[in-house]
Amino acid sequence: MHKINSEFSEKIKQYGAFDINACYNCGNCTAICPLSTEDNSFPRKMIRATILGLEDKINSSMDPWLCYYCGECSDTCPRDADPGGLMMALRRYQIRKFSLGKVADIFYNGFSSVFAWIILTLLAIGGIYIFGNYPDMEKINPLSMISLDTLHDGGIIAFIFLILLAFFQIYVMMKSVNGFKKKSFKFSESVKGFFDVLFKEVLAQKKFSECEDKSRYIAHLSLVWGFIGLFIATITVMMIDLFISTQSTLKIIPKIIGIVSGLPAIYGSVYFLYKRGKQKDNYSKYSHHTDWIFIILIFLAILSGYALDICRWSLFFKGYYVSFALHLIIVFELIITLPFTKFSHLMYRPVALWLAELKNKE
Amino acid sequence: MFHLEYDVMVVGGGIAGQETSLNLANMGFKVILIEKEPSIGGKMILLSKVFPTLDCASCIATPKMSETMRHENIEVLSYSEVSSIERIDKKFKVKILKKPKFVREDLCTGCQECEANCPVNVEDQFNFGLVGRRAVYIPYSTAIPKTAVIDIDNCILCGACERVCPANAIDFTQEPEYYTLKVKSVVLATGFNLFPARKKPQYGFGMYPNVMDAMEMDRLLSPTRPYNAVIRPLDGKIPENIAYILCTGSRDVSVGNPICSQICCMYSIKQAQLLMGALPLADITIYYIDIRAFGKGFEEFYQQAKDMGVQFIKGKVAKIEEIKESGNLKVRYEDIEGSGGVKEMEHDLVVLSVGMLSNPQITSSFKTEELELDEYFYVKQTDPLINPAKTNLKGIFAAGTATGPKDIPDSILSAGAASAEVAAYIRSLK
Repeated sequence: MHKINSEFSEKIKQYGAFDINACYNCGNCTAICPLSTEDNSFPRKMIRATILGLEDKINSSMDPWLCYYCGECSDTCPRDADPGGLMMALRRYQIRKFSLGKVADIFYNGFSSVFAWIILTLLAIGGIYIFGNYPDMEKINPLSMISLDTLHDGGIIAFIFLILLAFFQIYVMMKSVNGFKKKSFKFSESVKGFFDVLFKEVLAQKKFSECEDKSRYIAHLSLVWGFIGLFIATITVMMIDLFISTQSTLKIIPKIIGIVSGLPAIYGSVYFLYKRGKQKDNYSKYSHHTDWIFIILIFLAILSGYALDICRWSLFFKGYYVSFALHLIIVFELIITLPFTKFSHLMYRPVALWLAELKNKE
Repeated sequence: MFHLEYDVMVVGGGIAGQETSLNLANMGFKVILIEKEPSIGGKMILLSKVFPTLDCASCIATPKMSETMRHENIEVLSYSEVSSIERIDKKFKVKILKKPKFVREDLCTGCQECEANCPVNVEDQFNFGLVGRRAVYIPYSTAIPKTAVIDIDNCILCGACERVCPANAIDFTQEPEYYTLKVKSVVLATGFNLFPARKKPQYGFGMYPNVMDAMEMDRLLSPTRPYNAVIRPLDGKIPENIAYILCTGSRDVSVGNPICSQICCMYSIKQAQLLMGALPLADITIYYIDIRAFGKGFEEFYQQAKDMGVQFIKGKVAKIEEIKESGNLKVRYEDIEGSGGVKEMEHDLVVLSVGMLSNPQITSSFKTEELELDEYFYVKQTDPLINPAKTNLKGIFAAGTATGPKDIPDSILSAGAASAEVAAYIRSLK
């Protein structure tokens, strides 16, 4: 039995979606949505559930993650209720809901997030201060500032922390999906679905490409591929450092990969920064502070990476080490907060797509 | 022929304007009726039948038009516009522009010989472009006054009509005429504009030939219909599966018109029933947000359509796509009350039930004061409960859809209210 809870839609307003009560249930949003299908139809059902305050239904729905906020629903909504804005708000709500020990609450509350980010930054600076050394000013050698072992151990710890958290939160998410545990899926089907999602949605972003506005899809795809490239470059450097030699000439390969992948990533982040700043299109009209922090951090991470290279070529040693420190701080912040911030859509969305795919197979 | 003083000037010769004029004329007031089209009749005369009684629209409207035209207390000025209204003491000085018809109304007999000989073909605005007309034309067979008019913009000045006219009524030397009159009171019965379906590009009106608006369908169903059959525009095929999309351009903020048209539910149900008669084998589906059958006999009329087999589906159609090979149309909607989820349905003809928009053109004629409009640009009723015809200007009244969306019975009612208020006002002047 569901109880109507009229306060819920008020609660959702702190994440955006201010006009949702204007909805008169015509179904235009669902029907115009290029991603909505006969089996997975949204966003109208979510609007209805929000207005009635059916929290269970919302927690157990993967629909918010199937939406890419093309904005067509909001453009054509006859009541100006901004259905896409609600889907975005519900994603923010679910990130909080699924997070371990309500840590995401800290980042989603404007007041506490300021402190959280300051503390994190101080922690990172402190870490560099404690574990790092005064760098070699005669030549460029990042490992003189932070030793390979420290980087390696820190990376491994962060990685394990992330994997554990991600698994836990994905488990929370899957458990909340209504009736999922009752159904048994064939193992082979689950694996096939997993690879389908990985290739079609994560790597090619096929669903995103169905939005009418293709420029957003291209920008997002650039960001994704840019990040995949940067990730590969980072791992390769570490591998070469660990297993070959820190002086190996092979390092030119990850260097090139990094510089090339940085370009699309810069394009993507600048595109989203510009759009959010301009506030012209529906999806960029309202930005929660978490949206801003996420995109700014991403932009700064790439920017500081390029600053590194520029300083290296111009032999500006001081600049090099400062940008290296900055780069480390920002990357640390991005990675360590991944499960609690907007970055977590990286794990939630593919899982949701996978679950939806399995549901459709039934 | 003309007096220079009248008791009342009624602006607009539609059903509300006619009703107001007749009521006032029967009370003994001198009325002048101004109509911008070459014939009085407004929108009702173009309709097939009226809901919920399925009475023939022209059978009700034509006698009324004829009575209006021939009433001794009513002077009708067709093809005329009000260019200014100025308040002078307790009266109004109004300037009227009578556009040249290039046909002498006192001589023309309506024999249509000119039409038969005119070489020019243009789209017939009274049939919404479904068929053509000549450059010299009688608006429609039930037009009143039934005199020809020359559409000078499209005329090639060949003189063929002039040569064949048996009454010598063609007069190319006519010029616009201005009249200055004194009236005690003005009734605005300026009606509404149909929502232009092109403003809703998702429905493809104007792009896909088999998407038509409901006014075109009403023409196809009317006794004076252009093809004498219901056929679809692309290939003349008799449609077998017709969809109606309600609330096209009403209750829709995205096109700037958030209010209900108050007619599109009922006229669609009416057309569905008429189509059931005209095409017994056709399937008819009506896509709606809510069915608003609020008037007397409306709910029964709706149930009757259901019983006849009209299918009603709750869900606003978001998009229409054309299937290239067949010209059929695929409508996309959310099946809210059915199994849920997005559905696509194929139809061979789609009718858009377009709503009403206001027609605030008359406001520019007020020179000494400003006529107040409401937020949707209808004439504002300053006292809608007690004096529904009253506007913010003393002596200026409004009737029919000038003050907001109304169906025909409500328009006539409001015309009755306006005539009573005007009569009381004029008496109070003495």
